[in-house]
Amino acid sequence: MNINVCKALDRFFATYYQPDPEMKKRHEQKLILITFGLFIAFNIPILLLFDSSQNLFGIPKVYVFIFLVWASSILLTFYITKRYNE
Amino acid sequence: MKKILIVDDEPNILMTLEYTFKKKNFLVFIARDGEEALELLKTEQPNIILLDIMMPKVDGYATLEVIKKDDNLKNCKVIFLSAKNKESDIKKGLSLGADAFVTKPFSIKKLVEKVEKLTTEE
Amino acid sequence: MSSVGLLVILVIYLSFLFVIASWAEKKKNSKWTNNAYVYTLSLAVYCSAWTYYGSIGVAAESGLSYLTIYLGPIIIIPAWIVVLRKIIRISRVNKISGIADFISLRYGNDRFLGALVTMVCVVGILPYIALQLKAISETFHIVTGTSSSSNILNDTTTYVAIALALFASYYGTRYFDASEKRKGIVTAIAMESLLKLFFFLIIGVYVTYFVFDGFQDIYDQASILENFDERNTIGDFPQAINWFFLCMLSMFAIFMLPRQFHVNIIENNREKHIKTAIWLFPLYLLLFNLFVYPIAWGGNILFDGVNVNKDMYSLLIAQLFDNQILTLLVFLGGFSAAISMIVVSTIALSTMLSNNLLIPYGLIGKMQSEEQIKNSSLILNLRKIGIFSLIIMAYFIYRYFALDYSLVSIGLLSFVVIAQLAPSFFGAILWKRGSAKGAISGIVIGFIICFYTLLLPFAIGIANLESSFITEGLFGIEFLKPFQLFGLDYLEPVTHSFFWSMFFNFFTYVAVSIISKGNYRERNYAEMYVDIDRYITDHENAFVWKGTAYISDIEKVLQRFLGEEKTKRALRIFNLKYGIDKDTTMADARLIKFAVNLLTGHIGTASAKILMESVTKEDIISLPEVLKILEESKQNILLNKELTGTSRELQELSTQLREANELLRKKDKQKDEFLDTVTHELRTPITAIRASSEILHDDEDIPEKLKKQFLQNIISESDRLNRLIDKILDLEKFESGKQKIYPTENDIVETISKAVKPLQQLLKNKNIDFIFNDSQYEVIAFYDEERIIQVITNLLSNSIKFCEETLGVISISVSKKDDALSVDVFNNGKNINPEDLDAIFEKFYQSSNQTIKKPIGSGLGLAICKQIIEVHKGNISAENEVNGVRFSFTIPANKFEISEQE
Repeated sequence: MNINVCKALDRFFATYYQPDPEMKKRHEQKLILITFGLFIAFNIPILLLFDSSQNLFGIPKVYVFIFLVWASSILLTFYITKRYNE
Repeated sequence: MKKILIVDDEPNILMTLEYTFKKKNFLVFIARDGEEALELLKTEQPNIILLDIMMPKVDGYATLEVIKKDDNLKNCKVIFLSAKNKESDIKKGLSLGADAFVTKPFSIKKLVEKVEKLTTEE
Repeated sequence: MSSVGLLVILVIYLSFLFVIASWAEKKKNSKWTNNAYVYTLSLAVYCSAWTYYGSIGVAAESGLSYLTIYLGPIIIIPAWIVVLRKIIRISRVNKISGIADFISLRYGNDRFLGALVTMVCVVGILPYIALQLKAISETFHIVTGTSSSSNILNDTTTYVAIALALFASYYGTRYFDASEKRKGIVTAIAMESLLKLFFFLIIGVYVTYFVFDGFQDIYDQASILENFDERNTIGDFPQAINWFFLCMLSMFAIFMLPRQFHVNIIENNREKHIKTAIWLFPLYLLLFNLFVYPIAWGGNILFDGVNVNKDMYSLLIAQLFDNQILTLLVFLGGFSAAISMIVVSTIALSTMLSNNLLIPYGLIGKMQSEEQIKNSSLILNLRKIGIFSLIIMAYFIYRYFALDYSLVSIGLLSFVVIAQLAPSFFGAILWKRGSAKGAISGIVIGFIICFYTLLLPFAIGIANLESSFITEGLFGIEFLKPFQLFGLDYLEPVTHSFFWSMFFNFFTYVAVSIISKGNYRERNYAEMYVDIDRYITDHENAFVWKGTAYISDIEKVLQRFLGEEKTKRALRIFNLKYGIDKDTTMADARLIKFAVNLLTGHIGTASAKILMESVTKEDIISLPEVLKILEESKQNILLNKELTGTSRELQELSTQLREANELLRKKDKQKDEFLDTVTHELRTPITAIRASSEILHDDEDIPEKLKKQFLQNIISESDRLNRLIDKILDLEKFESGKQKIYPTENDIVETISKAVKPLQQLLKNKNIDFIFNDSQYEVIAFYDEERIIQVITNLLSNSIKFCEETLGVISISVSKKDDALSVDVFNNGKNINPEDLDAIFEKFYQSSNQTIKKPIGSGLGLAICKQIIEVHKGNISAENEVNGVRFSFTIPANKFEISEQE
């Protein structure tokens, strides 16, 4: 096999195969799962479980719940995008 | 009388060269490798050295490097005599300080001419 | 603070924004402007004065529900990784300029639908802009200590509004290219997002930790106020349902608000920015909302019993404590929030107005006959006027309709109107069956319901009429009570309106789409939208079109809007991409799509389509035919996919190729080195021959003895040369696998004897002690005798050369165990350098050890031995021993398969 042919084929394959710049599908699905989780967490019945204005760290309980869930979703999302970023 | 040192590990080539230059009234010294040559050069200062490159023990390049460091051999001319004929080899040889590079197989007549030319420049 | 002073500050601030925008325009593609953080911050235009002021009002007055405006987006944002990417791709590929384009293109590039969407957006957003102006106006009055005047001309804020309108119309149209990207403005918006968050946090911290002693302190003081518990819990079931619907409402808003669509999608430069936005944007929203509760209740505590506008608590508290700087900062934060909303919204709206309403329905005729420069300036002026008018109109709405409403109520009204686009919007990317008729009917019905249940009552409410319309329903029909339509009575007006309008909108859309027969153009676009990932690299091929069109006509149209230079360049690129001869006269579907795309960038999809239609003649294709064509192209795309699906294999193949290439190159280099050495070796005997010949020729009186010697030289060197050539050929044959061996059954003892015989004299001459038991029993094995003799001869010759000078000892021994025959040749010479023990079997091996710079002998002998032994499926090696060197080789004793070598 001629060396020049080898070089040419090499270049061809290098440009044809484009590495996937996105995350793999299954990691994307994890994020969709977070959406579903939030949907349920921020609505009945789960939300009503924490529905109270009682004092918790100086804030009504329901606020604590909402903000905690909110913050966790940020952390989770951050983790997933950083970890599985190809 | 002009002195010549011929360094080559091939006995047949040495023989022909020795005969040639003896006939031209040179005082001929021979060595079969770089080591022998350097040993000889400790005591003799020839006018010109014919140096093969591919030799056992110490090769031609290394030998020339040592020669160039020796003040006593300042005026000694060196001709490389080698079957190596790639441009890079010739460049290397000349850059080390050889005065000429003759490739094998060579013409005896032309070699003699070159030697005489180099040794009459004083 | 005086009005003039504040105005001056505002002017300075606006100039600052201008500077940032110009700077960013220059650095269009640098990492400062084209990065994920700027993109994400620009998304924060979602937080307008409503967020900044209105949330506090809600938190103070009605409770938790202000959070629903953010929770909707928070819930859906992680899914952006898939959903947003899809929308961005569709928009990029089709050069979408706004949400009206996006929707109308999907449904067959329907001009009417585009205009309808535009109108819905205008109706929906004008109140929203009004709300910003209201916030600016009221905060302006609070800071300057003035009060709003009932005479519009006496009110300072009127002039502020006019100034803003001028500013926005100039600013918003100053930097834009055909792709509708405004990097400069986006950067300025991002900067404003930072500022407003920063100032909001400052006032938040101030109220929480300086006015009060932290959250606990606020809680203690607030919990004793009336309605604290009620406002800080969701409540009962109906409240939870309301909560749910409000979340849905904001979830729709984050997609369909024109300003959000603009920053989210149109201004997006890189898909990978989405990956940052999905965590950073929620984080931003979280930070923004952290201090809403403390400010709200701090305000309730401080102003308990006093009747103030609760929306303004942040400003009022700062003022209460005579903190001028803080007041100013709060004001500027709110101003930033308001103005970024206004600028982006008006840009988005005016683009839609010009692209989807004015040009397609009025000006296209005029533009077709004009030069490019005139057309461009016409479009620009249209937009300027559009922005200006929108803001002035919004101001009027504020003055005459919205004066008494809280910010939140106006905002939610806006949301509900915009939500009417939801079924057709989401249907566009999810459902191929959705049709234009369905979309139009859905939107119309939804809007009517929304109008009836929300807009109308609000308008009436302003007029403060004791309306029987509201209390008893239209014509007294209870079922048609605007706030309790069909008896649904446990939802609040906003969610009530949202529910019913969505209900009817959605079902009408679905029903009409299913019942009516779609046209093929819709179906084409439906495929391209819903399956965008499949078509993205090949979207021009996915466009189905049959008919007659001349390239020259298309070129003329393009020139009117792109100019001659750009048109030529674009067509050249197109021809290159598809390998089309530039002398072609007829245009194909791909060119049509390509040209439409180019025009869309300047005048929007609707007008682009009109123009294209005016210069082409399209054949009517039946729906089945379209589907067939699409199927074919899908096959191609699937094939492509398979090809890319086998990309793993391709990569492996490529690696293998690369490795083979490397090997080849190495071998190539080895071959070069080999050739080098061989020629050197060949030239050496030739030199001797030539020199000797020359002497004999030129020297007449050479003594006879010397003459004989030189002649002998020639003879022996010729022999040497010949042997060398033989060896090289031999070696080459072995290496290329061409050398055949002819193994037969032989007695190794005899073979060795045969090999030793010719060397016996030499052994004697050199006084070497040779040890070999040639009278032992025969040892039978299967090998090519001639070749093995060659090996033994070579090993023996080497040993003779290397063994001790005076008391040389060489011994050969044989052994056969199991299936293996081994032969050892030992000599008592010097040890070989351990590094070289393997290497000496390579041809012309040059040792790195200085003492063996030149191979002794031809340097090929051992290499040939190795080849011979390996062809026999054996192996050969050399080992150092205490007093000498042992060469040994082993071959299978029994018959073996001769296979091709390498």
